[in-house]
Amino acid sequence: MATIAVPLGAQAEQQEAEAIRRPALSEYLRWSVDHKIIGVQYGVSSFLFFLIGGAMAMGIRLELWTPELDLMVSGAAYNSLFTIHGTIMIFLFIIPMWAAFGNFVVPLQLGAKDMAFPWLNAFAFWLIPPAAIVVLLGYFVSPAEAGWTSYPPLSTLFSGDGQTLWALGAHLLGISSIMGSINFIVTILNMRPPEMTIWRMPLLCWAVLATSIIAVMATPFLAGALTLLLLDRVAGTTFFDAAGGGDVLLWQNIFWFYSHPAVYIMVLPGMGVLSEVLSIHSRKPVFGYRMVGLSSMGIAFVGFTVWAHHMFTSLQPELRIPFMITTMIIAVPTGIKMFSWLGTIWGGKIRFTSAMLFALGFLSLFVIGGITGVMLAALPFDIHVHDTYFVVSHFHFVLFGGSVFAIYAALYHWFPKVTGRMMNERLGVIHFFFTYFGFLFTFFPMHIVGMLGMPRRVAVYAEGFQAWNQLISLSAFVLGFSTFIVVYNVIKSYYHGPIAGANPWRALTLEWQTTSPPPPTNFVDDPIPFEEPYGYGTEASAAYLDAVDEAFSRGAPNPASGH
Amino acid sequence: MAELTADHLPAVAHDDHGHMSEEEHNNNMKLGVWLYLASEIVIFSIMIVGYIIFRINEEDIVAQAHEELGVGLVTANTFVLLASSFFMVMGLRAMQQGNRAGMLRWIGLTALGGIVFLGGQYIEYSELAHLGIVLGFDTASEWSTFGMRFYAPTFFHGAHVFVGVLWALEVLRRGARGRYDNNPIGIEMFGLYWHFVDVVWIMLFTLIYLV
Amino acid sequence: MQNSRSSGPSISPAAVVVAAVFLLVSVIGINWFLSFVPVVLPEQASAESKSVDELFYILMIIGGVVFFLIQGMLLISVIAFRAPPGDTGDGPTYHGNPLLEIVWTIIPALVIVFLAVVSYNIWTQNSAPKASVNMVDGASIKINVTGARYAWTHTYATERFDPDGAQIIINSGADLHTYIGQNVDLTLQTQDVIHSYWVPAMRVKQDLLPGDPAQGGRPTQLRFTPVRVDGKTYPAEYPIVCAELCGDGHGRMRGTVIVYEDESRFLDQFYEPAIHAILNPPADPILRGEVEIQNYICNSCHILDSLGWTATTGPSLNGIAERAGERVPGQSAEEYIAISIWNSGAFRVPGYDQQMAAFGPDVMETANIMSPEQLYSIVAYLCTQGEHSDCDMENASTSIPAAIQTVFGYEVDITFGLDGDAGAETPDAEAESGDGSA
Repeated sequence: MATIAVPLGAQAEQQEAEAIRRPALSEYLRWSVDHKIIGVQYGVSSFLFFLIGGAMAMGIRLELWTPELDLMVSGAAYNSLFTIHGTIMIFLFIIPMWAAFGNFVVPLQLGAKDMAFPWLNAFAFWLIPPAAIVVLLGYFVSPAEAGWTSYPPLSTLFSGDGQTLWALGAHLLGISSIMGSINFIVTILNMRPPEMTIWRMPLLCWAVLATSIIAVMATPFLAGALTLLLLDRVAGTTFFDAAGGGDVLLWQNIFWFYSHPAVYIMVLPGMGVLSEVLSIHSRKPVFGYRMVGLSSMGIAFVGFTVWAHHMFTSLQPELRIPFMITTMIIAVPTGIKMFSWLGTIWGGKIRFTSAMLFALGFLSLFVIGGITGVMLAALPFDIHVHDTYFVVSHFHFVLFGGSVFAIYAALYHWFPKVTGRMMNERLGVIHFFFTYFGFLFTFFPMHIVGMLGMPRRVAVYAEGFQAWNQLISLSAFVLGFSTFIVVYNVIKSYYHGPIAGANPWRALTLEWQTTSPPPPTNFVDDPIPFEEPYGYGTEASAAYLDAVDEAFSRGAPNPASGH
Repeated sequence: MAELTADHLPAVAHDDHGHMSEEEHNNNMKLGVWLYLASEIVIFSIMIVGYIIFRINEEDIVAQAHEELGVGLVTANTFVLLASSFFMVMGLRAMQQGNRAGMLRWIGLTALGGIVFLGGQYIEYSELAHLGIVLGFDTASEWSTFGMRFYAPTFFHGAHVFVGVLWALEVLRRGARGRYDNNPIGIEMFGLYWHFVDVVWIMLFTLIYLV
Repeated sequence: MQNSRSSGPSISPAAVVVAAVFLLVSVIGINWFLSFVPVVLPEQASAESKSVDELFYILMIIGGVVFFLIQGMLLISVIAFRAPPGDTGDGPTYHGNPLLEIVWTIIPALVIVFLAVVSYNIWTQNSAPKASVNMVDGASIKINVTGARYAWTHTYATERFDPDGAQIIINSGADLHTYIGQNVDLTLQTQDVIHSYWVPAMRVKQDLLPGDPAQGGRPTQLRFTPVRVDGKTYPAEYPIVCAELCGDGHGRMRGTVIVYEDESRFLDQFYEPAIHAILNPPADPILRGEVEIQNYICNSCHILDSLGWTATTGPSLNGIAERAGERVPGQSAEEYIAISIWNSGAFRVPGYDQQMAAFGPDVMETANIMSPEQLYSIVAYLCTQGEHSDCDMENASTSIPAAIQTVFGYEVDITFGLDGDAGAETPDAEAESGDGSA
């Protein structure tokens, strides 16, 4: 925190410091009902969980260096490792990370002064630390080892008390997610100023709205399923125990009825981010804005009808075909988004900022996740690769290549707004290339080992797969290393990054029409949204942006035009 | 230190809600409660559907259970809960007419109704426990599969009544201080919740005790 | 700094060249992709695998087109549309093209319909019941698979009977024996958690679901037909793996499909010898026990060096005969071993959870049914495991039956199976009632 006492530098720092008024760090450690503080709280805590979950992934890859069990004491220890890895990455990293960006950005983009329920917002966040403690405590007491999917009877009759703690923690996180989502829906529907009509809403808001609707409708299924699971574990009921008149598939049905839509909870906000970043950094309107917004709703809707494709090897054979068809249908709205994004950058003037690189990386990786998604929907082929490394690869392409790349894009894009300082672009580019190639060589070969016959969730595997696994592990370590670059970049830029000014990217959405970081009331005067959120390239938009620059004329350098 | 502390900022409290109009605030609250109730419906429906499937598959046990359960106590209980919903409406009406004392009386009756309902449920549970209908699975008991499907929804509902009673007491406390004199939205939200709990009970009552 | 281009991208000669190059790259690229297909999939060892791989080819071609289309457009954008240095202006204001949007909605939708139809056809073709299943010597037999943590057990319910009239059931442990052209129809049952039976070379997979044992569990079906693989030496072996997380030893829950070249080899090398061994058990109870114990899933949890078992879920059986006599005061080694097999809940070795399945003449799980005679031979075998033995091995043929009589009240017919003249109280009734309850 200390500034290096070079007299000239210190003076410059002093001047810079006056330009940005940001909350003291201690504010972030306290209860606060300001959506911007809560957004940062969500973001920093989720990123810490990302580091923990990532360290666990490194442990998994170390164990898989050889076909035998060597690093872990037992197969059960390995099982609990990937169980907690998955739980952390899904419930403690990606889902709350989107709550972070949603919290910080959505009210600003709408032109609102805060979320609809500031107190509830803070409460939803503060449920996460105790839930995380419960889940992690379980890991150290007697770990859950049934995977994040927690199928009974493995998770009921054959697991230790850590499984109960796991279920309790997941329950709390689900409640937090429901509360946060109710808040987003009410905010987006009710808190817009009159000028911000629904068809002027930035696409991130559309995506967060779709996501929140899914979360409110789907998460209660998780809550219900976990309630029954907990009853089975502690109260002696037999909802999932066939010997007591229960049914093991009941869990799979309810669980996936939540967890498949949960995939869209994790990826739709990323798609919203992508629309923002691609449009702003290629200086061109989003291609087919309405279709992109509506396709989010389409994915949200169809996403509720596909859950049983996760059960292709356990479902009654007659029921498998309908779910194959609904699953394939999802490809259509997803395709609309992909092509619209390509249409957005096509003919534009692309700035290769770090945010843009990660957005382009998303496009190029997500298409692979999409193709393998259709392959997995094709029932006869899925039967072969179900529950193998092919599936592991597919969902990492969607959740890492998709969600995490979008999270990085969002980080580089909105960091200036959150902190008032720019990230280091050179480090950002280095970070991108390490992440992109580390990711590609980690997860692409997994398709092949899966197809060749390596099931997922195994600590020991056939010797023939060792070479592949060593390639995967090496690349995974590169991927793991890449994370340190961004951590260093964030810390360094927080203190020493160039001053961002109000609108470094010359973006038209409302979050940029206020100081960086915004004042506690978000806007000094009521903001006036431009007639369309992505109307780049017109005289009117240039005049609008010039007026904004004038209004916040702290002469900050403009990296968007500096290349 | 590159950042300035809050002292340097314009004096605006972070939890200042002054910028939101009353109507806006009320609309937000109502939409929020509706969304919350929508998510509650999902959880209840998992248990209700679970019971329906069980009922279809195990008609004998359910028929036997009907004989044991008896409808006398539970009908009285249902009536009490329905009445409390009526008290709830009267309380809100009283407040809207500016009659704070009347509101406190009616909401007090609502809370009392909830407490009586919980008492009745307690008596019923202890009678059933004597018959050997328990929550946990027990191979020795003929009721082994009925108990959990009966207790899970009814107890979950009872827990909602309990929360509702606590909420009613909080409404009383705030109401006594004049919190709702100008804007009875707090009572209205509680009312939505209480009616929801009532409606769920009517479904459970019909499904478990009558058909 | 306004860009003058306000209309959409127009077709220029350069674009045509780019499109042509792109098309060429795609065709070559997809072909290159396809050349890898045989490398990234296991051998095609079943009829099903051929049609599944055909579907994979189709998916690869469609996926390749999408891949090259999108990556190609991305690459072109990245190269052609980068902002020139110093250009701070915006791109063209181009909001979309409804016609284009309709096209890229309709075409994927049509592709989806095509894929759904193709997949549906292959699926119905592969999963349809076959005309003749599990035919051996013209008669059908039932092949059952039992999954238990962490081992597969294959049993063949033959149509042959032993001299007492009991159906002969061959237990081939973790190996499934079959031959080219046999329509294998498996009935799968689990004893504990969900497992998933996967034979990668056959491209088939099916979960094993726990059901109510009182109602015969919840059997699931799996079908495949082995075919000849060129260049393979027979009998060919293909791995079986468990694909659904089932606990500590999930990764080592494996088995082997052994495919014989034709039915006569299958009969000569597996089927008839197995039946012969059942009908003519070794006279020595110890030798018989060595065979019998391998018919059960003991190896999934215990270490026993003499048989090469390495699992560590349960306590080690190495040297069991040295310890068995000292475990419980007043209990003989024979009694201790017998009780720990049939009534495993009676004892708990410190450091291990009570997880062992129930064995006995009338247990629910068919694969765990164990007659007093089998118990006798297994106890006899275990009594030899150690430097010295606490058992009375001099009089094993009386001491062990006596122990079984004392603790379980069963009379053991030590001549069982040795001749055609079994005693009146044969265990067959018990064994059959176990089957009959299903």
